[in-house]
Amino acid sequence: MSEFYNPNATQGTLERYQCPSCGAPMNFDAASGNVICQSCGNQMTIDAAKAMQKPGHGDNDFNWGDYKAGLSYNGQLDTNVYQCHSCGAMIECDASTAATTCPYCGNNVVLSDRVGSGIKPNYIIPFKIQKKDLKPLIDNFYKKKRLLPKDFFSENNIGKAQGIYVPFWFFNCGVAGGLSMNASQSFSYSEGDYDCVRTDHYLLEREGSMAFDKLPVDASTKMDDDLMDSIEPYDYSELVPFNSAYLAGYVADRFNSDPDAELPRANARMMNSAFSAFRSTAGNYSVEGIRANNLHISQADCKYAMLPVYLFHCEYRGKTYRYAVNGQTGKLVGELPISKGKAAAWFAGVFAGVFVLVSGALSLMQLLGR
Amino acid sequence: MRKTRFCAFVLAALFILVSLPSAAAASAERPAWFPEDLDSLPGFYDSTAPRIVDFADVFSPGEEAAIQARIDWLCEKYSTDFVVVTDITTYELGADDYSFYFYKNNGYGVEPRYSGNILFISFEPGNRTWWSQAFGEYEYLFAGSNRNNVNVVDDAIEPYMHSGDYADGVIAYIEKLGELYEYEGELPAPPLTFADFKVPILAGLGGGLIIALIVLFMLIGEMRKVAIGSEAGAYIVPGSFILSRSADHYLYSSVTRTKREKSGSGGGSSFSSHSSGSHSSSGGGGRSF
Repeated sequence: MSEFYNPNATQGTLERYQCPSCGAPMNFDAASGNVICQSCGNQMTIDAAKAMQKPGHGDNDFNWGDYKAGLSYNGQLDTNVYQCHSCGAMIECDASTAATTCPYCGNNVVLSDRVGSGIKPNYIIPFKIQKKDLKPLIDNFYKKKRLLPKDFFSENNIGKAQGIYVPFWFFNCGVAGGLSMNASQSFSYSEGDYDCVRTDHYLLEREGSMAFDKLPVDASTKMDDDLMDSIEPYDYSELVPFNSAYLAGYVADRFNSDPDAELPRANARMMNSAFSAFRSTAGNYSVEGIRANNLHISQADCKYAMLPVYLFHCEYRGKTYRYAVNGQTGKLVGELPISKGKAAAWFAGVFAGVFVLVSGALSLMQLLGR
Repeated sequence: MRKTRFCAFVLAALFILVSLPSAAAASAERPAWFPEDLDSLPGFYDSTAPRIVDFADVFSPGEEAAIQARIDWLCEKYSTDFVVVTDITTYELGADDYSFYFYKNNGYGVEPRYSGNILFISFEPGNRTWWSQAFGEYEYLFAGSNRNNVNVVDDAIEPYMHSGDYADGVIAYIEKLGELYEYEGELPAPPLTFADFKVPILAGLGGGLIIALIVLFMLIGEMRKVAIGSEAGAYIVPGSFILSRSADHYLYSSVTRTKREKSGSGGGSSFSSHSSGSHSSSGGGGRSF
């Protein structure tokens, strides 16, 4: 790469720029005040050349600092924590609970298995959906599922539905800084016998900030992440300070995953949304990718919360299907088994119908056109 | 004085340069049979005029006899006239004008409207083509709603033209022309075969497969309502997104050029119509080979 003196640069520094079109060195042109490629003649402003030089960091390379300061480690809990002998799950109950069952494996949990206390949750959203409300929710969930096997549904499964407070980490932070994106604009035109497309390439620089509040990531490795992500969102207007009285009649899973372990998931989701927000400012440009990410985290904070979930599962032909219901909104998620016979029938029916319609219509048109 | 001479010389040279092309065009060679007055072609019928005019000398005596037999059959059965002409040049007339003027000025066509057909085969280097035209009462064979009949006769002759079997091509042409006469220009549709339904069946199979797969994937999607979260848009504090700086830097341009496909004749027939004075017009068409 060539070097040239940039009058705008810090005194005495030499800067080297490379042509984004052909990769050849670019030199400063005193007449135009731009940098010009010695090979292809491409010209761009010094600002653009400098913007291209800016380095970025990896998407998840953020410094969250002392974000766990708000967590009450070793706080005084008026709950009991038990461990299931069968599956190892850690379960919290209020002090008055006499006996309960493990929400994961269904085994009885013995009170003598108490293992101690942990972090005191900051928040809790009390259950709003009662167990009796589950039946219509499940009926509605199964409704119009055309590939569901006829013999799958059994009311016995609902009887085993367990209300559980699932531990979540709430990640809060500000995201600020700059982002540069490769973008382009294309124009079509005709030139003699040729169809031409001219693509103008741009570097878009954006700087700004945004704040994320209470992004939930489940803090239990025993919970399926896809189930927990899918029952979002919760209505945070009903979030209240934790009180063990809300646990009466329910059990609570205890966190077994440190916030540090869940941070990458939170980072990925936040960055995707931050990119989307900045991308939305590109106007008529077609954004081709992120060139340099200089966003950074500020005012990072983490809170511990208990969110209400009903869990139940169904056994069907040797496979376990797990379902989760948002205990506040009633949103039910999970994967249903697929009847191969019904799938084949639907495929054959649609295929035959379309075949008859299309080939019949085309044949008729051909006959009429004779 | 010298200046005046020089100007005169330049003017003379310019005049010669300008008049050269038109002089060359005016002196373009015309065949002996070509009419002197193009605006007045009275037409006449000469039963002794040859119905096979082989200027290009592509037919053997045996082939000429076979062609003549089919011409006699056609003319007798349908009270028409027919002439086939071959040549190694079109005299810059183009195949349509060549065949038109040859027919009109050499005694062809049954009176009173000089009805009949001509098939002209040009072996002009770089412009090998054939052209067929119908005249008088039979003009309707290749005109109006029957214009596609040009394709019908061209399809009949084309394989022979490409294989160099010109005599059989002419005979095939005459026989197809006979069919057109028989059915007064409206050939009955050929019986349907499986091949006629190949496109509808394939379209039905393809469309059915694609739509059935789309429907099946939609139904399967209904059964799987779980996914790892990838966005956090719902957790952005409302109004917190502030754009403090925005700069768009132009870097470079690139151009891709794609040569446009020309919509050539692709073996299809070209068409033309002719009219001359107050006499009958003609319709026809042809292809290259």
